Amino acid sequence: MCLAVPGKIISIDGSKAIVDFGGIRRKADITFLEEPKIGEYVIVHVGFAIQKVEEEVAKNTYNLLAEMEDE
Amino acid sequence: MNCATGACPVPDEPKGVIKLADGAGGREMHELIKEIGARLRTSGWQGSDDDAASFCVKEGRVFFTTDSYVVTPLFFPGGNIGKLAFCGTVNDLAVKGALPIGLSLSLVIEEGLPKDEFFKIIQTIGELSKKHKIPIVTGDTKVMDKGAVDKLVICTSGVGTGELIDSKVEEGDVIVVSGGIGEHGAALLAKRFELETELETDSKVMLEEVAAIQAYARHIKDITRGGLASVLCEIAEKKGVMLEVEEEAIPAKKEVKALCGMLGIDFMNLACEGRLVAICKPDFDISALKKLNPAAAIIGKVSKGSGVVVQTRLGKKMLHMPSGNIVPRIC
Amino acid sequence: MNEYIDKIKAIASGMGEVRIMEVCGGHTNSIMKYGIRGLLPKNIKLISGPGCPVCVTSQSDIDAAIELALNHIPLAAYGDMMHVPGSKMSLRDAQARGADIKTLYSVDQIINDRKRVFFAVGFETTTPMTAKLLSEGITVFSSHKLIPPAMKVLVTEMKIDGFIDPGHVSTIIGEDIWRTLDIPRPQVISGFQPDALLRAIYRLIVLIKEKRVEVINDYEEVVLPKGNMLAQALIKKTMKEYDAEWRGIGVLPKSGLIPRDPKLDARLVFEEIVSKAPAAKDNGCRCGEIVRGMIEPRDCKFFGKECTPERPMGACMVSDSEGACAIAFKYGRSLSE
Repeated sequence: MCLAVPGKIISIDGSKAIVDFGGIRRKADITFLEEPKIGEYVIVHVGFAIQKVEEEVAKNTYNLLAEMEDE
Repeated sequence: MNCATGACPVPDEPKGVIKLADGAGGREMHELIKEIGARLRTSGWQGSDDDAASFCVKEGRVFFTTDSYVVTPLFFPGGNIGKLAFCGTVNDLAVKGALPIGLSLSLVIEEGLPKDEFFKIIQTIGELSKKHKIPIVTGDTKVMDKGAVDKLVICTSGVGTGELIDSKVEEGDVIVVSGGIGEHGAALLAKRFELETELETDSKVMLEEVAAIQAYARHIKDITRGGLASVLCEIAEKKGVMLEVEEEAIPAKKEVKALCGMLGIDFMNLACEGRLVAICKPDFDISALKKLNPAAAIIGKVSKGSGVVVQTRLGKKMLHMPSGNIVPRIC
Repeated sequence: MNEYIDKIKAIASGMGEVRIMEVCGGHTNSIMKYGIRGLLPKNIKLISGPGCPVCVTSQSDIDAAIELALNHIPLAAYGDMMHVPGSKMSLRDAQARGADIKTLYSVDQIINDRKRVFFAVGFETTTPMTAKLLSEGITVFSSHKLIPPAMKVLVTEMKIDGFIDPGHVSTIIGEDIWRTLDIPRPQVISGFQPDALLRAIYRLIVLIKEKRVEVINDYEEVVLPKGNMLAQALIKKTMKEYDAEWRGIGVLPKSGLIPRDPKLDARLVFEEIVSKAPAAKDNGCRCGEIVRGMIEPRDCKFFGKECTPERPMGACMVSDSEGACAIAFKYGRSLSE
């Protein structure tokens, strides 16, 4: 269950952040993160960030997820 | 959107909304039709302003197609319902090998549609019609009570002439797509689910694409609502062959794949409005197609058997005709 | 190709049948999407568990939600729920009859829509979002379920040699808790990429072969020992456990979550309407046994005949990413299975 994808926090406004998912941006709720910061990578499930992840992890996961080798 | 050449007079922005009276057959309706006509290229056939338009039949094959268009919202990144209608109708003819010689345009309008929106859509159709020199030769306008239709329904027909592209598909033939898939579907889903992207509809007229592959093509299909998956399944079934596709060879923008990852949707199920799939002879030369769209690619080949087999990065899977509406999943 | 495919082949040769349950539907989806079953040796059996929230939602809950919608209560639901058949119709059918039902990607689409009732489904991963809605005063019809109680039942009912534990459920509840639960089988918490899954399957087979009843966290980059404590705290504050009904499994004690505040619990607020919902009737659908991994979709006489993705008789035929029957139908003519 529980499709969740990694993205990067672009901006923060209260409990909301704008997160970039490989070129797609959407607001995400960051209520469940401790001290979120701009530039950090997070895993987002149905519009809510549920965990911070290392940049490396996010990028690896993401490359596989989207098979991003873009010709 | 401006006239492609800059030479056409752009009529003033009309104010107000479409009313029931605008479709009642009286003075208001004649004025509306006049205003529509001013924005369209209607010449080419005889009697376009009469009950039926006519043209002389030369020798050869006549192609005829019809379609209806509904889309929410009417305007979306990179286009509107008018663009879909024009390109869709032309493409239906083009992929069969026809050069379109005229289209019809029937408009079913919901009362209350703002006139500026309505005429923007007509303007788009007019500009495309002029650019591609395909006239709108006849049409109809109806206005319905509020709630009876959703804003605007466009019904078209198209007539063309040419040589039919449809021959036997053989083992070893290659499967070609004309560009990155799913951009139209992704752009609409992004709007619906409040996602910010640079993605725009891929809606376009594909006459040049067809010309670029015509010499090699055995069968061409316009990819539309059901996405690539649906079209491939249809071809495999109709032609009684197996289509073997390399998933990693299928071109798609990284934003399209990212959006699919987020919403849990298979990118092969996303709608396209300006992409085609072709089955071409084994010696197919893709260079002309790549000049039109560098993302064009050979994605697989035809073999004996049935169905569509997708080779993923790891294992193989069968592809089936998608069903139901596309909805994002949570899991 | 993946190095773990060869490793799995090497270690599995000589072993008897190894039955591994992937509890999570997201894992099932990856397995199907990349044709992983076809890459494994024949004696390694992957069994799909009850990890599809849509599939385990009881018929009576779906009927109740449809009843609310038909009685002009504006509803919202995740997309997955729309096609699941109730006794008489699905939410999509109700929508076609004029019911106001909003399909959501995220609950933040309705956080300011106080009149709308949220039909909440999902496991631990999806529950914090509902908790957030409740904290904002939105009314919820909750069909939320907890995964561990279901696993405890399954392990006593059927032969399962080891579990691939759900990755994102574990993100919320944490790694440590799995060791305190009474599930006496080797377990590996896995990520969702096909390569990660193959590695997790390999590591689980090693545990099984060596008869080590342990929990390995193979998704450490996302799953912390204690999980997401902010999410856990908000759930605890806004929701309470109850004896939830699972489709095909029945009522399991303390296996679901409902709002603490009775004023936000749609089951109570709209009790009169909910009680009018048609009584669930048995149409012979064997979803329950399928959800529990007891029979294969093909063992059901309706499979592919009366019951297809276009006209599903049960929930397993609905979610084509997670429902065992829909997946079997979709990949039915598969090459390697």
